[in-house]
Amino acid sequence: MRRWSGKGLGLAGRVGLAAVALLLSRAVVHAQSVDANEPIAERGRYLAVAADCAACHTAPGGGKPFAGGYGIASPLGAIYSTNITPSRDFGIGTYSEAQFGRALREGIRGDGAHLYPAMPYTSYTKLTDADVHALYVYFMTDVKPVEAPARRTVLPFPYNIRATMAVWNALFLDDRRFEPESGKSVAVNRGHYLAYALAHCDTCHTPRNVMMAEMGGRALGGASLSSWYAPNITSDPKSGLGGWSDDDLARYLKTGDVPGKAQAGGPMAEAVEHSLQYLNDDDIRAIVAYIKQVPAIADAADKAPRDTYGKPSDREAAYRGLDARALVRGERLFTGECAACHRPTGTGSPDGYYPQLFHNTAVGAARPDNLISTILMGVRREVGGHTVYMPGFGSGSYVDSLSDQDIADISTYVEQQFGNPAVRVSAEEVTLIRTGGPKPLIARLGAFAVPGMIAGVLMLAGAALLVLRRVGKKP
Amino acid sequence: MAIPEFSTTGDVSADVVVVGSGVVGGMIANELASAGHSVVILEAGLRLKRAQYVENWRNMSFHNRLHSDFQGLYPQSPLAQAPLYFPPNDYVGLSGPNGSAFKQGYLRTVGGTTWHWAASCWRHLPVDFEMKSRYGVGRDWAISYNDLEPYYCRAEEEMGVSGPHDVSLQSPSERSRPYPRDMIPFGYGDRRVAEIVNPHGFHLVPIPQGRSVEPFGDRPACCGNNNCQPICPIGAMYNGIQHIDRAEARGAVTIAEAVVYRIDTDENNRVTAVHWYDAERRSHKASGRTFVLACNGIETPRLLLLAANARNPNGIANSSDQVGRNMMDHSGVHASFQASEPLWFGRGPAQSSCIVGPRDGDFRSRYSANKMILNNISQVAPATEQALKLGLVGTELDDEIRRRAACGVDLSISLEPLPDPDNRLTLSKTRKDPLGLACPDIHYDVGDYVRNGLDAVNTQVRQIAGLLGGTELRITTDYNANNHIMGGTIMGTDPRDSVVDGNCRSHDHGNLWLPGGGAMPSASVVNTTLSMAALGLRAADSIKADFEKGRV
Amino acid sequence: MNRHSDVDGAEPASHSGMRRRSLMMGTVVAGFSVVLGDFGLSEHAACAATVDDGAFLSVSRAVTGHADLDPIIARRLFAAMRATFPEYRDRIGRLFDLVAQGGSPKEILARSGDLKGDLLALIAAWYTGSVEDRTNAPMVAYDDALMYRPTRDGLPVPTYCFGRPGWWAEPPPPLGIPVRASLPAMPPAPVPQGIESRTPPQTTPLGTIAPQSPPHSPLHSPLPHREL
Repeated sequence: MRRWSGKGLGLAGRVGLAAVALLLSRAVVHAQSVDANEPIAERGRYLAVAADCAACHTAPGGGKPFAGGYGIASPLGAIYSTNITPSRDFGIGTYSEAQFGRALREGIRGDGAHLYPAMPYTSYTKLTDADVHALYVYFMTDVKPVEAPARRTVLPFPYNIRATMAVWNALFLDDRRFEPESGKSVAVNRGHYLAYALAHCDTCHTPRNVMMAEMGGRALGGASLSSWYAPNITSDPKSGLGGWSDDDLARYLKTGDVPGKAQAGGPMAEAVEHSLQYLNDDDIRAIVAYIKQVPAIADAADKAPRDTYGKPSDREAAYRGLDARALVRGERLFTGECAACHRPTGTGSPDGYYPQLFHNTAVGAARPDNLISTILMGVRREVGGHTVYMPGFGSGSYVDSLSDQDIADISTYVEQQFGNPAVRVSAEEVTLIRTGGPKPLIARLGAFAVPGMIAGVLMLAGAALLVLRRVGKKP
Repeated sequence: MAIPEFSTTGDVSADVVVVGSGVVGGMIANELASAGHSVVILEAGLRLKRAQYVENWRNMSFHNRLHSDFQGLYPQSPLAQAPLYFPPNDYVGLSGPNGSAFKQGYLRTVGGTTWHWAASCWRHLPVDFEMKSRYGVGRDWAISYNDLEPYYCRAEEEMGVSGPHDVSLQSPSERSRPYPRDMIPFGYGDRRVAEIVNPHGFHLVPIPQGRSVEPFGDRPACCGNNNCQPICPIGAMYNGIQHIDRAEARGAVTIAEAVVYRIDTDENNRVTAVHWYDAERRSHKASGRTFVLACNGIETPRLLLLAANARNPNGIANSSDQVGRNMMDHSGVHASFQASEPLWFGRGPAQSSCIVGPRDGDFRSRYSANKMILNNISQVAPATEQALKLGLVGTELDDEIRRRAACGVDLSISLEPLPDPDNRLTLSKTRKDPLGLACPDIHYDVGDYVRNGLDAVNTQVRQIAGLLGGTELRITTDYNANNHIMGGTIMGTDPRDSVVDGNCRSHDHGNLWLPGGGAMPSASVVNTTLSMAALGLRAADSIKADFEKGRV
Repeated sequence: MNRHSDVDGAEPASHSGMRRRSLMMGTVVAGFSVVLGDFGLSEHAACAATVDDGAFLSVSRAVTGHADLDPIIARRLFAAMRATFPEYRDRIGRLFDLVAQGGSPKEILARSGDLKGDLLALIAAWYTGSVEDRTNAPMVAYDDALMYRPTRDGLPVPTYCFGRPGWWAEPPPPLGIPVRASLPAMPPAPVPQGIESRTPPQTTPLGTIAPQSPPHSPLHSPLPHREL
């Protein structure tokens, strides 16, 4: 499950993206210095990939490109993506460029209704006029109209009143174009633009306040995403990516895999699969340059970088041949369920296809969320035409369907052997992740506060303002 | 979603009662649950996790692993025995000239024996369905290849089979749909042997297999860890448990440790209920509208005989006296030799390629066909045993292990017995299981048809070994079992000499199906599972049709 | 539905009747060499290897020619051998004296005299991971059994992954040693049959039928790798 961006992409989408990749091999794109000879639509296509529009607007399992209908899991309920093909009846065929830009940057549809911020308009608002134009030309000329309506979004009251979003926007939408920072290199500025206006890294990696708006003071400092956790990617050497080499970071973005260090799973795997792998090397390098200088945010809980924990295990020498009952439960489960691929030593396969468990960012993290989610849901990542796949061990698993206690015991064992020994996992934590992860306050409020909130939109807005100010006053 | 109804005493009632939770029972349960019928699955054995089997295997003694103790890692319910050989438990009593060739290794556990198969998914040849008409030996099926062909396709799709898209590598090539995935890529040894032997008339083809090198849906890709038998550690190989899981997701309920021992019939000889003992030896009843017995080629005839009642004194479905007769298996031999160059078998899945040139020909009117699997099971353990026996130490020992592991060749050769009513399963008069139910006895003689076929095998093996520069060529002199148990509930058009019809419906009981290997009237030389699954799907269709037409 | 959630019967909590039964089932399982009473598994013993454990490890290193044997496996194997063979400590003592004079495994073997059987049995135990080659003999090592070392570069230890799906289509490693060695006559190879047996009956070595044409043309080799 992915929150507010990204998802499994259907075959049609993949074919489309593969076509894009072919085009990209000769299209080096610079948004701010447009090559006059470059076809605008082609540049728009690249931008659409960089912005990962298809992630949400192309339904998985063979949905037609950009026809919408994909249910994006939000804490408030499923938000269905819209048809953004140039269909005049069901899509955006009647949009003027101004209307298109407003939807992109302000979250306001052609008919004046508000979009939910599942659409990352708070990011796209930073797009340059030239890029909005290119996207418009691409969608209107190169995308095939799909003459079918996408499923409607129906959220529970009060969130079904889209006008509330006007209040939200007034509070949280910083409706300004991107402006290069003086004193920063061209690459850093380019990377900043790509990371925010297009790839919208912040959508997942920046924590949100009680009203689900990004907390600017903790930009890219790490945030919970339903079952997954988007880690701190600031330049902090312990809590963030400060210790990563540029090459490793670039490889990670391009492939989702740095053997012996980090593998993308969940929503990040989708971002790599659908978007990042198709970015040209200059743009990848620019994002790396930007990420490496994002102001550090340190978390006192992080005693060492995530990729420095653990070492190979020699435990098989001690337990082989023993009755299972002589082993602690986590070890017994690990050797039976995990060691076939990750090997008893935790080194994985020599070619790196089956990942090494020690010095692994998911295992060394202070939070076990991504370890638990990986065990529960597995990993699927299609890069360069090949699928990297780890089966999940949740319900209906092809390997074994494990209980919450099983996964807690395995996780704790893996943390002790290969990861952060301070991390212990309880069955309750696994239950929480299995059922969609921690719910933000606003979602929990919805269930209890709705009956009392009959005063409607204005009262809600007032309450929200009040809550926000109180939160803001806390040190 | 229709769900079986349970009484407070633990009795159950459902539209469909399936006895046996292997590949056939699981597929039928899934088909009928998907069609909206309530399904209960009764399984005599335990339900355990894959990881436990994996660990039990790794924890086995070298000797057991060396000699393929594929049964011992699967814990048995104390009340539902299955054959064990390390040491032998003599659950199945064997007699006759080739009794020892029927030492079968089948599992009584949720998911069935495909837990430890190697996922070979062969089709019979069209001519295999007409052995009597074409070659004057054996029996004809009640259905033709064309009748079963659509079900072969479905079974391949259900099991995610990878097989050659290249028609020249297909055996048979009569197909209405392509394999779901192209062939598993050959390893070096397969390619090298094909290159050497094929110009001399041998036809080496890829084995169609229930696994794939890219994920098949949510099933992981095969990583070639070479342990298909006795357990795929990562769920990349098709196992019957996958259809049990699917059936359960659609409302079917599996009851493990439920040993069925009695079958009730009404005045029209329709089955009304089966009775089972639970793990505490308490008896319960499963009532239903239709019944499927898919307990494997030995346990199904055993149950039919055990369940004899007043209206069916010779056993259920046994008015023909054919239940338990015509027992068949691909009685086979192994040939081993050292090639004159490294072939490196043991890389990738445990079975990869097979010589099918002698699968068919006019000779079949006189003697048995054969197929020769180029065994791809790692040769390290036998190489080690041999090198140790030589008294080598140090680098000489290491070198000899490497040499023998890289150059060792093991051919697993299957022959085709004919259905013979005297090859017969009966109930033991002396041996009982822990529930007091008679154990099975089997009398077996491979017959001259196979014996004569073995002469041809010997010549072919010597040719192949010669082409590969073989030394130390040896062929086993006793036939071994291959766990492809057939014939005990044989199919035919005439109720007087067969047990089931072309849909695997019993001639005697209008609502009782006996699909699986037992129904197969000809053995061919290829592994039976795909044919069993296809027969199961065909049976499921006939059951569905009965529901649709209000016949139940 | 209706699944056991645990790996086997040994559950910490919730001892339902079914689980107690599963626990007892452990005794019904055949074919296992696993044992409840561990061969020297105690963690404390690992820290303070006795002189005997040290002697066993020294002897093992000398006779196998492998200096990097795992001390944990050594301790457990020693315990398993002692539990299986009478007066095993004394035998190791005598082997200890034998190896004290140094030399390669072959040289030690050459002067082993009546200790030859013990010496070869010890090597076999390290190579197979089991105390001896018989049904259900105690075992202490699988992945770490020395028999897998000579082919680590080319063959997986079964059950453990070797590389990405489809890796086996790549060329295997060079053999690196002569394809034939001058060795004594070979005993029959065991074949996989699934029945308890030293080796099933086999023919004596058969003559092969030589091909009428050369077995292969070098031009048709499908892979760059080749060694004859």
